[in-house]
Amino acid sequence: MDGAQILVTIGGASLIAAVLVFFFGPTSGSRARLRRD
Amino acid sequence: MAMVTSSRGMEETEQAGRPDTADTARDKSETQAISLPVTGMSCVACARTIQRTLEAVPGVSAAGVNFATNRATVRFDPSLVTVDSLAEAVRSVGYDVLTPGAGDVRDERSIEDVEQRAREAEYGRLCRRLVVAAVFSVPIFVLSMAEVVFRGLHWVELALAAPVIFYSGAQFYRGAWASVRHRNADMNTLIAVGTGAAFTYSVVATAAPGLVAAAHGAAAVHHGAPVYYEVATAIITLVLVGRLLEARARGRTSEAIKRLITLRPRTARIVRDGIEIEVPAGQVVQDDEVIVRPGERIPVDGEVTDGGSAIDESMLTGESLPVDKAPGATVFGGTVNRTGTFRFRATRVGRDTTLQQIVRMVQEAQGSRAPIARLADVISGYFTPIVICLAVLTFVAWFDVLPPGARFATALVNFVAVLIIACPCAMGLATPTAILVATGKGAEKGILIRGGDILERAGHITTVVLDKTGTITRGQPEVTDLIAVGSHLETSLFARLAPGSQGGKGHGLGYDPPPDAESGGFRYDPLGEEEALLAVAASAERRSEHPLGQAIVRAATARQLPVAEPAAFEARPGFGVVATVDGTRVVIGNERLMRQEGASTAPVDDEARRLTAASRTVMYIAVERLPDSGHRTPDDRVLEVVGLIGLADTPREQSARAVRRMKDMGLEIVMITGDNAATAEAIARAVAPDGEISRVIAGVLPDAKAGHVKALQAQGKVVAMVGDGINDAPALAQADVGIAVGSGTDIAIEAADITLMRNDLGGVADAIALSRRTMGVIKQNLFWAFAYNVLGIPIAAGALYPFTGWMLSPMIAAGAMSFSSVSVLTNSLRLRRA
Repeated sequence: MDGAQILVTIGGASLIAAVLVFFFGPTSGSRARLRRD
Repeated sequence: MAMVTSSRGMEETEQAGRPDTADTARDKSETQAISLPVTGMSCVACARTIQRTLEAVPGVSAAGVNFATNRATVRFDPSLVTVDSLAEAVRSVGYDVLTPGAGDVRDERSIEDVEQRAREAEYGRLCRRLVVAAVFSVPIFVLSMAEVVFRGLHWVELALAAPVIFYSGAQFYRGAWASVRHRNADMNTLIAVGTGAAFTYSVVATAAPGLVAAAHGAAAVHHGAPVYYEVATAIITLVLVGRLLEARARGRTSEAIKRLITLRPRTARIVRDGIEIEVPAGQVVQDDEVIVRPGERIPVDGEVTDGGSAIDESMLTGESLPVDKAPGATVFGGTVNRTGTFRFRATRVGRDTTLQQIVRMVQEAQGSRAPIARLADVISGYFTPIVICLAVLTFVAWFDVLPPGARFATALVNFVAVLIIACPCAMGLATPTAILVATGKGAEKGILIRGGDILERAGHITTVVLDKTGTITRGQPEVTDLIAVGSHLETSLFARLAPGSQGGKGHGLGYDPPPDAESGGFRYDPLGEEEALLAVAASAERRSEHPLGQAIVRAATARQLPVAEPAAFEARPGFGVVATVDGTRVVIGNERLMRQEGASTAPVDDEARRLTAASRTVMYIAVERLPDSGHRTPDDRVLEVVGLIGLADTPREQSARAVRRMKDMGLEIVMITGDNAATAEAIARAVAPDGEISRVIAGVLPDAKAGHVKALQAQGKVVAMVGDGINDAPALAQADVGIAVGSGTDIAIEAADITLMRNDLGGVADAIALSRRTMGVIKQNLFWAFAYNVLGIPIAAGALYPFTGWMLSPMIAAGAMSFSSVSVLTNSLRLRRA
């Protein structure tokens, strides 16, 4: 693994975590919707 | 799935649908419901955003937004909030509400006109965007394929791509921004992230090739980094093609309701202050006198006051034969006057007309959710964010696996392909489009279905409970037997009333008995004596208001027999009538009346017993005549029984065929009635000669019917109760699906789950068949939408590459995604041809 790959892997993982928190975290629209459904 | 209603909203809608509770009455006085046409929605998530916005407005108790019909239904307190502020709230989140310029906002016809114009404008905009996208995408595509390399090539491509991204694709980016602000994700998000990534990367590669060249390895440093303008523009073009096809197909799904709405004529001819004037149909008020000429549509509901005509009511009832209307008859707005000119008094106008009620009910049903949609709802809630994560994962995986040279390009292309192929719009369209088409189709056939949940339940029905009176049968007595005691009929009265009546043909009395029906079937006799007897009886009963008397008059009229006006008439409640016809005293009634009047029933006793055994109501006819011998002065006249008339409630013509059809559909048929067992069995044999009716429950009181339905349900059966909506109400409510036959003009519409506008049991089979087909289509749609994503995402991620070397181009992914939505819609539209 070269430096770029390590960077992309760490960046990708953080991005996925951010997406999950943003859409499913407290007060998110998706969460409110699922609760209502 | 497209209908978004909070649980609170659903409860209120339910209550509003059931008119009999005090709570509802209070609700209605405090709140008001309005249906607003909304424009600018591109996806189910838009509907959710608007719904949440409306629910947040103070004074709004419930809101539901339907993506498929583009309507927002709001229940609100008019003292706290106005329609204008509701519209303002919707506009604040980037959508628009249409309101007719002037006149009654809630007049469906005028809303429909405005919606029509808005739809055309939106379609025009979509066309322009697509043309721009296509015109600029083609040269970009050619340049990227042709491998021509010249200085400034990338700048040319950028110049061509910019209008596609910023003009044609603007709606996707705006939509994506709006949902991200609400921390939601939808198909706009996926398209925006996918095309945005391809475009942004390409711009960087064009403006600052040095920045990205390193990622592509040594070769790129010399030739410049590759760009992907064609990917971004082709995706936008293909998605727009899909949207355009979708818009066209969606227009067709609600054609049925549009046809209903446009039934009402634009103008009406009324008489005010003695002058005939033409006014817009919306301005007709109650008690106006309306004139209708042949060929014209009737503008509102009313009661005929003068003249008469044959009226085509097929658009409301599905009944193809015109119905004759005389003074006193009710006419309905939207029906067509065929033959005569007549006047009528307007009784129900505007929102209250039968047509408008049907339109509202169908609109509500079209917006309702089927429970099956819940699964799709839950999945789509998780779907989009997870797809974004999968796309990122795809990028990282390819970048980590491949050697430096090609890894960035491959990772980027697969990242975009995953985002594009996973757009969840096919899933969003699967259920609502099928419900929309099915309820519209039902309305066209005179079957009013209350909602998507009803369609789903009706699709699972195993047992149909049929009420006898008024459902299988006409619900009113008909003359079934005429028995004349021949020698007594040679009087001047009969000779005058029925000249040349000997040797008449046997008339069917409107009912054809099955060949094997003997005692249970209905007898008719070819002799003219019977007709003479009927003519005498009808003349005596002419002024009678009793159902039995009226049945006798109807039978005589149907046979075109002469019916004279009686000189004297006296009704004896509980016994019969005594009348004077053509100078002769005639007595018609039950055996007690005969005894009272001193007429001997001996000559007909055997026949009377036979009729009673076959559960007929028996009426004796006696006339006064001079005795054959001895003194022949008027004082010597004696009353002699000259015949019998048997009456019974007869089955409707279509009942037998409908029962057969339901049996063929694999349904268990049960007949339930308050009548005695003998009558019930006779009717069951008449409509189901081959034993199609598996069970007859007789002697049931109206309030016990619900108990029998419950017992069937306890055996694990899914029960549909079919009744005429009045005394069967508790059973209709208890059943899984309550179906009201006929009386479709009344409050019955509100009480049943399904209302058949025509007095024909065939509608029950039609409704169940339609529900089954609809559920089939919904399941197919959901299957394809899910299967498509389950298969498409791994292929787009490049899962097949190690084995087959296949890699999915993002452009093909965009084409496939558009195709999936269109195929789901086309599948739903198949229901139109039911």
